[in-house]
Amino acid sequence: MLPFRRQWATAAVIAILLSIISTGSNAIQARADQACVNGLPIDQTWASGAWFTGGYEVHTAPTDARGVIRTYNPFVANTPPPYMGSASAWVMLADGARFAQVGWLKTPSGAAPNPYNPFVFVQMTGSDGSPFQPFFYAQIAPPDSYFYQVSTDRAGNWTFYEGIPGSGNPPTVLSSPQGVNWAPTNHQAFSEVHNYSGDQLAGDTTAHTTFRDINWSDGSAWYGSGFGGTSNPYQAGTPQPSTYPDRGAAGFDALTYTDGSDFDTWDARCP
Amino acid sequence: MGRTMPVGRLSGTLVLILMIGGALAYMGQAHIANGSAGSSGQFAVEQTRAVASVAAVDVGECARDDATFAPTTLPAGTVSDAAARAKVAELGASGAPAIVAPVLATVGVKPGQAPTQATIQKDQHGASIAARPAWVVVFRNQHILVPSGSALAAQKTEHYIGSVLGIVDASTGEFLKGWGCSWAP
Repeated sequence: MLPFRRQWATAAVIAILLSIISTGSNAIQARADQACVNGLPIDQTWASGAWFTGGYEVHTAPTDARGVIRTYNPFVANTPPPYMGSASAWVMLADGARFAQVGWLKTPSGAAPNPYNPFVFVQMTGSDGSPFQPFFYAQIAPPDSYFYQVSTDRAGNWTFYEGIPGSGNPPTVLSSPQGVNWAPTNHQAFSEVHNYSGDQLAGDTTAHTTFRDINWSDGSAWYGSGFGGTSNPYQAGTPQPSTYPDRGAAGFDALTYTDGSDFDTWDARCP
Repeated sequence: MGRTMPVGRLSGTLVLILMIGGALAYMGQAHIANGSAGSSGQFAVEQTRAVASVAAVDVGECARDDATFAPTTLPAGTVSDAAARAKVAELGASGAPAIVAPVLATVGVKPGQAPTQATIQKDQHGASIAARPAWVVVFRNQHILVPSGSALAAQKTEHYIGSVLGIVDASTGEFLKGWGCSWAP
């Protein structure tokens, strides 16, 4: 009987090894935290909404905004417009409806649970506030953090950067548009989602999405951000339009901070 | 006992053969799937050959002054077109791509200007994207939701990308760069 058992054991081991080899490529698709990978209840009530968790600060004449943001691979609602989900985390220079931002973005893709990691993206508007087509760059994965910066000379020239903190290499120029003539009056750093209950905010209760060293410049020096003041309090799950339900008040979106330049975001529903 | 042992060995051998055969059959399916997609790759190569007399691969509404796509034939062993289209689809695209072509991609960072040595796009590893063997993939009829802009804006309109282009390194399979080409109606 021993030979039979040995053959059986050998066969089982070989089959398991072959199975691992043949499915290995799928296993590395998402090197992710994705605590809510099995899904969240997708909302079909609050169309075309957006929810923001992070901070902002108004200035006279900012020229740059930068910071280091941890990558996360959240669950996003894979449902048709106008309830389609997406999740992102970014830094921005803005003025009214005009903006220039850089960070990471995840959109729904494939069958749920959607496994794919986010992409670095750049997006901005023209002087009339209409968005230009966005750019996409490398696909990045948690738990890596990346440096992002958006800069302008306030004379129509802009530059977007992405870099690897501590690598010793200068940040990579992502895009450098010219002739975009508007000047920012504030800088922002936010995690953003689009489906009220079906998008996971960047981060979970054990792996927060960290925003670190969110700084701004006036062209002559760099300053730490003053997020979280009485006139510009940190936000968690603030809706747009404002008549929509607040995800922070619902217990979804959470934020903690250590000062005006360093804060964490996460989805409190995801362990 | 003298008869039992051979039967046991025979059963064990059969089990071994069946299990290995099953596993190989499973892996074979994956190869068949890749091979099937690879035939589209040949189609893409043929398409490229057909336009080899013109200066660049036509990417339609995704054409930009700061990017050129020279026709090429990728050597054996490079990333398949199926893998390239799957990588670009991870942007949120679905369905079959409208364009899949092997190219030598050159990409700059200054919109509206042809790439120069000073304005060439670098990849995540610091290497220039200049005459880079790659797949260029275009999806049309999409709805890819982009971030909605300033958190302080009084009013927002959601924007969906209608067509999107992605460039995938033919050697590594890495996504190099992409852009939205039109808005969905």
